[in-house]
Amino acid sequence: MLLKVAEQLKLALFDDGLVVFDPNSGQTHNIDNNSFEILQYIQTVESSSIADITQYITTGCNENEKTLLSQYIQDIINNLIQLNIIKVVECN
Amino acid sequence: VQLKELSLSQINSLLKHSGIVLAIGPFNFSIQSSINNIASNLRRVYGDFNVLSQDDLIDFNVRVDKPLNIRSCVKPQVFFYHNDKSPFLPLPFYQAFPLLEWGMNWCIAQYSHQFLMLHSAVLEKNGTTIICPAESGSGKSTLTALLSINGWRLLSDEMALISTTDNLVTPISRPISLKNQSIDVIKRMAPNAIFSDIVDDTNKGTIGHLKPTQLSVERLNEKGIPRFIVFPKYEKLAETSIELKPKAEAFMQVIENSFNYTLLGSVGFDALSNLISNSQSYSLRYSKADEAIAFFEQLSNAPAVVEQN
Repeated sequence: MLLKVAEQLKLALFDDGLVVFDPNSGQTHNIDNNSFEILQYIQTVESSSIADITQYITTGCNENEKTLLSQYIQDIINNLIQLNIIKVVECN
Repeated sequence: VQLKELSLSQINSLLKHSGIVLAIGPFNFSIQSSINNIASNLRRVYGDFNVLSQDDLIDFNVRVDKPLNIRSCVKPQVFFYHNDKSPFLPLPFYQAFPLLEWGMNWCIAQYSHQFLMLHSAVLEKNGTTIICPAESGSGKSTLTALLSINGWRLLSDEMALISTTDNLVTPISRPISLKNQSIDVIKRMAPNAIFSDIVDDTNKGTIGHLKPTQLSVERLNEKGIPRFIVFPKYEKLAETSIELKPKAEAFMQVIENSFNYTLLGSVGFDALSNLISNSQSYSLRYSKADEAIAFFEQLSNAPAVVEQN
């Protein structure tokens, strides 16, 4: 499953959250601010898989941390997909 | 010429014929009415505002009048007109002045999308401008009136007009709309305060409009630089509670109190993003007016802080 960030999003990053404006839907969302790093990564590599993202974020973590973080990252990505902030561009 | 310099009969005559043009902050309203108590109420609460001529640029042509039918005398009604069209259902005749005020609010909210508009009071002291977004029933107007009679400059009771380019707040220091017990509270605390006629049995209960202070009207052209956003909430018997509000949460709460954020799209997001980044937000729950005022005084004396975001 390859992911891509929706076009023309506007972001405002704060200590307590990331506020995202989606001009396509006109909606504004307050989401986990760790989403920022994930969105940046997906944008940088154009399209990426959840495995790529997890590997990028968990680099340098031990196995326990990797397990915990993987679920957390998965939850964030599910939320981003649900809000149409990222889109699935290709399913394997 | 200020409105108070005109006699009641002069105001009445203008209202009945060409209309009286008032410069109210960034907007010029031409007001017409054949109803006598409109003149007396306008003179009382808009007395310090400048009167312009019909040759000046007019933003809103408004009128409040009885209908030309049987309801002009049987259970008489009053209509609000903007450009000769009535956007609302009529109200009982005795509510003519509140209807004019509500109609003026409607005009601004409908047509002033050069601003990000919030349902909010705005006050300033010592160069510190505080925006107070709040839902109806939160005690916003009462707190605004209290601060106003305690030396704060009123920029607005009803709506914050925020520039989408530089975030400055444009004053529109119109009368403060007070409801029910708030009217007596303010009359007790400021016996010299001037009110419009007090009107009972409106949809909002008993309504009175408090004249803005001369200081506020004299400085109508001085924009405010917002430093704080305070979300006030009056709760009977509540201990005063002040909490720093996280910025993303404040962002979303301001959206809930905006008239046109959604309509402005990206422009609204950028304006609000700047506003939140450059100000500190608090939630204020209170029941004791003096403690709420003390908090505002504290903010007005707070040194400027460089924000991280």
